[in-house]
Amino acid sequence: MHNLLSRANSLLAFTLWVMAAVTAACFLSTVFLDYTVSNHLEVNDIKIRNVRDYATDDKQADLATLAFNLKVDFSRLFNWNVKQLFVYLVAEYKSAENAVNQVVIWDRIVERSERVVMDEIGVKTKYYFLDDGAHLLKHDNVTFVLRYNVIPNAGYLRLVQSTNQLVVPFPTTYTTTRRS
Amino acid sequence: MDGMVAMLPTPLQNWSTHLDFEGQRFAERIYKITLTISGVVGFVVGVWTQQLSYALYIVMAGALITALVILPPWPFLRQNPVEVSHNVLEDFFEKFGGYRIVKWHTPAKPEPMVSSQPAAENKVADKKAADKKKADKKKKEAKKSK
Repeated sequence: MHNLLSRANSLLAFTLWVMAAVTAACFLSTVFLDYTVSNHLEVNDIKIRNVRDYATDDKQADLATLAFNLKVDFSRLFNWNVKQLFVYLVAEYKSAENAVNQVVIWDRIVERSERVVMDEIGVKTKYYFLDDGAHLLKHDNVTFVLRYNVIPNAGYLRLVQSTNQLVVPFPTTYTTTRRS
Repeated sequence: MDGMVAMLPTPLQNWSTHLDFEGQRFAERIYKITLTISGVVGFVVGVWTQQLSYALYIVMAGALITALVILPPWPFLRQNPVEVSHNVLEDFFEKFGGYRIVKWHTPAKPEPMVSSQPAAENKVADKKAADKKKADKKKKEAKKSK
């Protein structure tokens, strides 16, 4: 502390300590909150086609296309420790090939802003819903689950599942037209 | 640091930013208190506005204000100047070596330990002296007999 640089050094080090403490306090003040929301999901217009799966092996596989309506209100999740949410929709089902199949068919980043209420109709899937085999046809219960990562400013990456799921029986015949 | 000082314009290079020891202690106390307060105030503002950026801006503003208070060598931080004794050898060191040996606080000399059992010790000493006398006497007698 005997000259200016030494004092500036001590001051800067203590300032960084205080900033770390404030950030830790921010984390502690938000870590035990409840981050679940409910959603309203409808899935319509499901079409299954039997296609050649070139990416893996040359067997025939089921490819499903669908559109969905999703209504979620994320506004109660955002606090000073939430930067954004990464929301995704998963189709989960059991098949003869695998005990658990989970296919992510859509995702979106919801940033902390005014537009955090989602109310959309006719949303198309972003990713292919391709089965590992040909087991989607006539499937009784494909479950659609909405999950989201709460991305913080300080802390760990939290994964939350929305409170309701949608169970959908899949069509019993293939679609042969080209239009999706 | 010396390289940075050499880059300043010449009148600034000789400007001393030293504080005396009491001033240093006071400056450290000032920054600890003000930065802690700015941290607490920043946290409260952050919870109130739900913006982490506001909390950290307040801490940084507190640090800037504290820098204005403690970085320059203000007179109120130099009120207990260090006592320097002028000794030819020390003056020589300061001139050519660039530093000065400073006596700031002379520790009190420890008092000499007083023995708790003076009588016993003297007894032993007396006994030794007596033994020595006897030995000397014997030697003398031996010499005489020869």
